[in-house]
This record gives sequence, structure tokens and C-alpha cells, in this order.
Amino acid sequence: MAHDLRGAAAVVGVGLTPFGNLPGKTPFEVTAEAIHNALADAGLKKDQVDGFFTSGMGHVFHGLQAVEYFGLNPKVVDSTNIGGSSFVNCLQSAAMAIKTGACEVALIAYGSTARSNPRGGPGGGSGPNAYNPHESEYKPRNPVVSYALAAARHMHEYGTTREHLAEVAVAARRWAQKNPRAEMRDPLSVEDVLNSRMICDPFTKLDCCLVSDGGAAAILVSAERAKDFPAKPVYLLGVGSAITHEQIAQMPDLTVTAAAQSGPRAFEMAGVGRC
Amino acid sequence: MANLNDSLIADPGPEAVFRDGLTSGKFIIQKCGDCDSHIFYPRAMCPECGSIKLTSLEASGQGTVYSTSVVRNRPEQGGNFNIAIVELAEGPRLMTRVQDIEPDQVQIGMAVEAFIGAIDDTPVVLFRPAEG
Repeated sequence: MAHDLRGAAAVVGVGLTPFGNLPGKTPFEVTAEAIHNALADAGLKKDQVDGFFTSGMGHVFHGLQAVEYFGLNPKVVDSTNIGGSSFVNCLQSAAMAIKTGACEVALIAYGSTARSNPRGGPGGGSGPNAYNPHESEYKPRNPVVSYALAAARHMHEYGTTREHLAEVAVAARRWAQKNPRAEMRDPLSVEDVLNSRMICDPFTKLDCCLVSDGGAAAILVSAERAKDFPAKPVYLLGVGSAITHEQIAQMPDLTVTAAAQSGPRAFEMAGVGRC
Repeated sequence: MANLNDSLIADPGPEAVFRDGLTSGKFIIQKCGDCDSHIFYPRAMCPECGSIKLTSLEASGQGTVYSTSVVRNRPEQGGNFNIAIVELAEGPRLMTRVQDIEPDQVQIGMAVEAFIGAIDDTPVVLFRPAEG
């Protein structure tokens, strides 16, 4: 039997901002542009939004402050912060809220100034070295060193090489070269990656993810309503979550991420067999 | 009749017991009275079985490097230092630094032993290569 959430909700509007370096802006200012663009894409006014799904680093009461800033009055809010997967979590929460009738128009939005304002300040950026009571006192250069520890363990267990790891950055760059919004689009070789400055062994600067300012927003409605919107709807067929740990030393197995659980859940919901 | 205002968790709590241990040069971990798991970092509930019957004990200090990295810094910014995850002989893992050895010479699988040192005047559990 098909999962209740399969195809229950669809994205009917998407909004993006420029990405890269957006100095002089707050995260909410960046997010506002994304929300404006998503509403315009869907042909909706903000007062039609009755569900709001967001997350961020700079505000203690993020959901409250974001609702206030954007002048929303939602019936449902989820501002759970579970790191980089927060917005997949938002997608799942939005679909559940739509399916149960808790809301009809769900807005998912995020904006960051982590690049131009990494330490926060007024309006908040996103601090990469948030306080972990049993790790921060060792001054780990997070998030890089946590991924470096996982990579070192993977190399130890599977014989993975520096060249194998560098291929990840090279592949990402090839995708960037096809993306007009991407910031770094020059050719990149495995040698370039290996020869750049070491940051946290085994990762060099060019192994590391670019930190970018930018924002994005999406609007979901029920499958029944989706047909009434100007853009072709994108139906949510499968979504999955799994949460295990925050501090890297607490990760049950450094070579197996929680995606090994969430991925199969999403495929199962969608009714898509894994190859 | 039990006083409803009496906490089931002993006072001081596990975090304070751990911090007090560090201050007096001891590396305190916990053991679950129900499932016998050893626990680190200090908690008020066993992450394995949910029990709150936890006791504190001094760790053996013996461990094995589970993973290791070097945080690279220019010399004027303090130079390179090791960051490692050590698996204790009792089972739990923790983030730490392995010292008394060049940071890039620390190897996964290396036997290490704990000592209490300090980073920026804060007492912390550190490790060095085990003797013998």
C-alpha cells in the first residue's frame, strides 16, 4: 500500500537569491529576497501562507523572530535545527502538515550570511564552531575536522586514497561549471586539490566545501490544489529522516552516516526500488 | 513517603562530578547499573538502555586511536595540533588530542593512555602514546 505522504504535497513555487558573497546583509534580509521570489513564482501573497518551516543559527527564538520579521501569521511553525539536514526535515514537516490539514500553504525558507559574516553579530550569521560541551574545549576546527576524522577512518577501513577523496571536489566543480549560479567555475584537477594547502589532514583547502551567503525558499500545497498553480508542480514522492548524534566522537560508526537509514525510507515511501 | 521534590539524580549531577574529577586530576566515566555499559560523556540517563542507575568510576585511561587528524595552523597562530577520537578500553569514544608525539605521527589503532592536561587553563582529558 502506498505511503500516505507519497504524492500528497507538491512544490508550486521556488525562490533563490544570488549566492556567494553578500556583504552588509543580515540572514533575514537574504531570506526575504528568497521568500519574495518564491511567492512571485507561485503567484501567491504572503498572507496566504499558513504554515512556515525554517531554521537558522543566529536567533535563539528563530521561528518566532522569523515569523515577526516576515510579517507572517502561520497556524503551524517548525524551526527545528538539526544542522544541514534541517530543510529536508522542513520538507517532511510541511508535507505532514499539509496532509493532515494543519495548513494549506507551506513556506520553507532559509538565508545565510555565513560567508560575509561568519561570527554572527547583529542579525546573526552562522557560527561554525558552536559550543559542544565535550568537544569544543579541544578547539576542533569544525566542521572540517569532523569530516576529516571520518575520512581518515574511511581510508583506514577501506583503503580509500587522497586521490579518491579529491575526485569528490573535482566532480562537484564539474557540476558547478554547468551551473550559472555557481561561484567557482574554473576547471579543477585532482592534482590541484592535492597540492593546495592542508587544512585538517587528510583534507586540503580545495577538498573543503565553499562557505556561501545565499537564500532559498519553496512553497508547497496539497496535490489537489497544485494543479491550479502557474508552474508545473513538483510532487514529493518520498522523504526520510534519521537523527543519531551531533558531536563527531558520538557518531556510532564514522563511515556510516544517518543517510544509510533515511535514504531507504525515502525510496520506500516513493515506491522506488534501489539499484 | 518519598518527597516529590527529591531528585532521582544524585546531587551534584554527572557533569559536575566529571568536572570536579578533572580539577582533581581524575578521568571519571560512568557505568550503567542495569546494562553494564560504560558511558562517556557524563549523562543522567544511560544512552544504551535508558536506566538512571549510573555510577561514576575512574577510567582505566587505556585506549586506542579510532581516528586522527591534524588541525593545521601557521606557527604564529599556535602551530599544528592533533585532534583524535580515542576508543577507551571500557568502550566509549571521546574527542581528544594525542600529545607527546608529532601530531601527524598519530596513527589509527595506536595504543594510548590518558592524562589530565589543560588547554587555555581548562583541565581536559588528553592522551599520549602508551608505554611498552
